Amino acid sequence: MSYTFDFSDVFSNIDLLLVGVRYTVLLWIVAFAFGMAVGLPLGLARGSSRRLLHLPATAYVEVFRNTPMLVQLLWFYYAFPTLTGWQVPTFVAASAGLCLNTSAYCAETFRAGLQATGRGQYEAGRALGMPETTLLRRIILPQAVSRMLPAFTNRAIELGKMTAIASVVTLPELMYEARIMTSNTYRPLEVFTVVALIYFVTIYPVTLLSYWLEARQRRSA
Amino acid sequence: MGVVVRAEKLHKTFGTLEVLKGVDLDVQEGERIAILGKSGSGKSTFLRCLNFMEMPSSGRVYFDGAPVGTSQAELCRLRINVGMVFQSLNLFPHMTAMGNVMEALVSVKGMTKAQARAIASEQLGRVDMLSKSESYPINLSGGQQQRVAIARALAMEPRVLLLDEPTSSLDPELVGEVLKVINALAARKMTMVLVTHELGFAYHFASRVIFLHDGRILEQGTPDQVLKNPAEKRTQEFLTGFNEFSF
Repeated sequence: MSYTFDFSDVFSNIDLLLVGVRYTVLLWIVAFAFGMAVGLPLGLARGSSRRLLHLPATAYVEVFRNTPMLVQLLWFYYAFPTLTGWQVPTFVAASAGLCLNTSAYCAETFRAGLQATGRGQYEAGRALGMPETTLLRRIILPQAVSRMLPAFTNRAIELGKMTAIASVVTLPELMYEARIMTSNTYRPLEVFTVVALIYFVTIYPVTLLSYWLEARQRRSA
Repeated sequence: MGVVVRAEKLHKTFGTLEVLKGVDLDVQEGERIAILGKSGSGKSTFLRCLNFMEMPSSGRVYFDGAPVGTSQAELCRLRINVGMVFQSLNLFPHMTAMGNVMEALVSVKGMTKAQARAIASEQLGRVDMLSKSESYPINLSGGQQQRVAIARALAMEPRVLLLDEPTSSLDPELVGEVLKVINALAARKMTMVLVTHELGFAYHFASRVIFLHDGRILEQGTPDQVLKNPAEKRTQEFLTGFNEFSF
């Protein structure tokens, strides 16, 4: 092997990559928070016996789960200005795809977790005169969350890696900066070695957090 | 003595199966009604229609003379007044016995925790479960769980208590402690509607026995009338089936 690694160009421009990480993390947090917040009502609608709620929610979930993330991202990137005439910031366009996609996955997790809670628990709450929101908040969700936890942490970790796709719509996150740096320095091997390391260091703490959460739950169960 | 709950021409259909074929019932203040009947006769479904655990397909339920609508607010109000105890116990597994009884006092009735705790302690004491108040359901026997469930229902101060086969899921040796608690309620003039397979208990407990057959009330009267001298052939057959083994 005659290749000689030379990291000097990468390290002298490391600040560009660090700016990229900030966008990566921001995108990650925004998409996961949105996915959870929208996923819950969506999952409830999907599990509802009312067609008016069930059908649109199902259509939404299936569209986002059965088309490539990359296509969704590009679609929103071009759709916003073309269809609405609204020139949205790149960050909004890039996060739209990730947010909506994640909400569809979270919806399925919520639906499955809520449906796995026995009918008797719903009935016991209702028989005490609980409105549905109280029932959900006090009785059903606390029990369902433990079942859902592995799916959510899994999704969070996946999402962290998926943010790299946002580079195709020119959001200056880590992957985008890496490609720019590659074309400026002609040092792809060095650049992507460092970038892989940065991704690992960024995402691995969340994996550790998921282990900790699951262990804590085993103790309390 | 007024009518607390009235059921009028209740029908219930599951798919193509007509389970209730027009059942009428007036529950008088202080009455203790035992509903008997074979499996599939519709007795549990009927009971569950009284607090809308099942939506009746047609017919009406009245509470204190007023028809009950199906809006969430009306259903919640009805269910605070018409408590229920389930065959499958259904304690909240993530809460202690005390937490189970306090929960709806706080989250439905809006009491402070201190108020709720005082009431819950009193109710748990009445079912002799105060010493286990900090135990989680998983660490309680079936009989203990059902006693907590009764305390939980009573804490809401319902006007009527519905009991859906409250001892059917219990080991035989645990049935007695639950029946004793229900008997104590009877002594305090609690209005109750009980679906049960315990004929002996129904005989001593009930002020009125109703025999349901194929979605209709076939026969009703005092325990002596229905259980000792049934007029209908189907009631006789039903009782004979029991007597062969248990009398």
